[in-house]
This record gives sequence, structure tokens and C-alpha cells, in this order.
Amino acid sequence: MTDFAPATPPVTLPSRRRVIAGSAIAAVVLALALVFFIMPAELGIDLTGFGERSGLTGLAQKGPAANVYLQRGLQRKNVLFPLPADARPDEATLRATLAAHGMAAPAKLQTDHWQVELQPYENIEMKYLLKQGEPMIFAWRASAPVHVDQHSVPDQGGNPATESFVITDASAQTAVYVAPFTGIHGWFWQNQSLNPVTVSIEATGAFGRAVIFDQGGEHPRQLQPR
Amino acid sequence: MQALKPLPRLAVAIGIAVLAAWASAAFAHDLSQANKTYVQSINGPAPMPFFYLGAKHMVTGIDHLLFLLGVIFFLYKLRDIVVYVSMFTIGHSTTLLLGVLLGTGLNSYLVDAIIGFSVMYKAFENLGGFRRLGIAINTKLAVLVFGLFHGLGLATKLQDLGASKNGLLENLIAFNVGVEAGQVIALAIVVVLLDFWRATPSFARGARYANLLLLLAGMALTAYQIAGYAQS
Repeated sequence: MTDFAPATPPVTLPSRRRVIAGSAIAAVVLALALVFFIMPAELGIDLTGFGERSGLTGLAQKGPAANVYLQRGLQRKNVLFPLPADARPDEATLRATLAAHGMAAPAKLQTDHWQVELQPYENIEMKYLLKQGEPMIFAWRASAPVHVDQHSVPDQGGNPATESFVITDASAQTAVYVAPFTGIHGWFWQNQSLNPVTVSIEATGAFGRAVIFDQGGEHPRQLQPR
Repeated sequence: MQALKPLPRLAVAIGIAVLAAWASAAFAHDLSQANKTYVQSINGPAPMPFFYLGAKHMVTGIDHLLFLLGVIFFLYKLRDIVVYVSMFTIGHSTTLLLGVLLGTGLNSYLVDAIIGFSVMYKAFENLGGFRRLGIAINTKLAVLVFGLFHGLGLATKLQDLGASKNGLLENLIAFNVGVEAGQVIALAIVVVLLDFWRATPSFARGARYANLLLLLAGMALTAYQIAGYAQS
């Protein structure tokens, strides 16, 4: 107990004037922080318009509304038709699914398969080139749940016009997809674990080419027919 | 306080430690789900949201705050506070920037456990534990080293958000600047409150118990994170 005696120089209480001045400064800082930062970012209350211009109000949004791309994609009808996990991603299933929704597939379809190993926290994007109205059927699996964003980027409008259809953590997805516009259509996968994860996909569709986005940028990808 | 017997005092200490751990559970992961979808939809530089998230993480991050409280507990001169806080800032900024840019993925439970340990360390040092053990510690260097771990924790939190590679450097710097702004705000509050207490005679008597509480809170944080790691 005795050696616990750190030097404690005398501290005097601040004068009344300093307390008032300090409190006034603190109140002003708090008011500014509330109006310009905390209210727009937490409650979406944007008194000055600063929150909208700086993007802070986006932080106040919850759920699917938080993502403008997903918001846009979810308004589309007849784009994504989820299938049971055991459905085969082949031509027959594609034609049957489309027919059930009153649509037809083009005569000429391609098949493709691809596999990638994602290191911890690594992410990759793989997309197919489809014209407006062209369909595909796909089934992808991951050896462990990954973060996935199924989205499409139109040729007209580019990245800002991106539409997302599914954003979730999952280890599989099987569905028929009909391109709502001409562009690239595919998936962003992110490994959010400390172990490598393998993602593999099989697809059949009207696509002619595929493209990969990784840490090194954009690369064309040769289709690998099954 | 005079009337508190050792046992109730211990109960109060444990209660506060539990509260601290609960607060950390609520706040330390504040950057997760709610803001995640929005951050992932940001494609390009968006300095203000990242600045805000950095500041918010610091002001609501009980683990960083407790460590800072421990660091400045016995610092009386403004110059000393600036020197020590600068060491902490250099440490955490280095690993925050490098960690995100190099994509270093460390287990967040383990990093947060080390951050909890840094609170225990600082409280133990304030209690004169190392002096009693005859161990000489370069306290500035220690703050720098633990700052490196706090930065790794920040880097892990930021990477968990899954921000786009597009504009990452600008957003990362904005996040870092936000962390420093949050730190200045938090420090200003802590120093003012601490100075009020220091001006009363109860500080000389209570300093020991305050650091015992800090030690307990550090233990609670560490144990909480290790339990989380064991379950993951």
C-alpha cells in the first residue's frame, strides 16, 4: 500500500468563468455534431442538407432500403426465379422453368462450369455477358457460407446503374435468371472466414462470354462447356 | 463511499465490470450489420460516412476508451498527454492503414482480447504492479506497441464491412481521421471529468480503486473475447 504513492500534484478546480466558457464551447460542439453528423447518420433527420450531400443519411437506412442497388433490383419482375437446391442447371430445367412463366429460351444455349478458391477475406466477381431478355440457369455452391451479391451492370449507365437481386450470406444458390438489360450479370463472392473457401458454379444460358474481376482488375474468361 | 465495506465494494466493482463488458458487446460490434449493406453499396470515395463511422467507433468503443483513460490517469501536464496520445495514434494508425491496404485478416476475437489485455496492462502499471515486481517498463513504448494492436482491431472492423476496393484509400484515410476526431472528443470529456476529481482529496484515496476497476474491466473484456473465440 505504501509504495502506491504516485506523485499527485495539486489540481485546482477551474474558475466559475472557465466552467461557463468551457460548457458553452462543449454545448456548441455538441449542437454542431448533432445537427451535421449524428442526426443525419443515426435518425435520417437532415436539417441542413449536408447529410444528403455527404452521404451520411445513407447510414441511417436499415434493411434492403440501405442499398440503392438492391432497392432497384428488387423492383424488377420476372428476372430471378429461385429453384430448389437440387435442381439441375441444364437446358431442360431452364426451358421448363421459362415455359412455366410464359417465356421461351433461344435455340442455341451454352454450358459452362468454373471453380475458384478464395483465400481468407478474399473476394472475386464472375459475370456473364447477356443481352436484354436472354436467360440463363445457374447453380453455385461454396464449401462454407460466403457473402454474396448477385448483381448486374448495364452497358448503358455502367456501375452507377448497377442492380442487385440478392445480397446475403449463403453457401449455395440455384435459379433461372432473365437479363433485364444488356450488360454483365453475375456474382460478387467474399470469403468472410479465416479458412480458404471453394466456390464452384455450373450454368447453362444464352451467354457467349464471361468476365472476372479480382484484385488484379478485369479479365476475360474462356467458357468451359460441360 | 466511506461506508462501503470491502465485500460490497467488490460487488460494485464486479457489477461495473460486467456492465462494461455488456456495453462492449453492444458497441464494439457496432460497425456490423446495420451499416454494412450501405457501406457495401458505396463504390468510390465517400469520406463523410467513413469519417463518421471512424469517430463513432472510437467514441462508443469502450475498449479504446478504457485504455486511453488508463494512459492519461496519472498524466497531469498537457504536454505529457499529447506525447502519450501521439504514441497511441502513431501505433493504431500504422496498423489500421497497413492492415486494410495489405488485407491482413486477423481473428477479431483475438485482436479484441489483446485490446482487453492492454487495459489490464495499463491498470496494473497504474497500480504500481510493475514497480513492485521490480520490472522497469518503457511506458511510452508500451503505449505505442498496444496502439499497434488497437489499430489491428480497427483494421479488422473496417474490413468486416466489406468496403469496395474503389476509393478504398480515400475512405480508409477518412476513417482514420474520424478515429482521431472521436479520440479528441472522448479525451476532452475524460480529461475534464478527471481534472474535477483530481481537484478533490478523494482522488488520492480513490485512484487505487479506480485502477482496480479498470483492471477488472480489462479482465472482463478479455474473457468475453476469449469466450467468443472459443465458440467461433
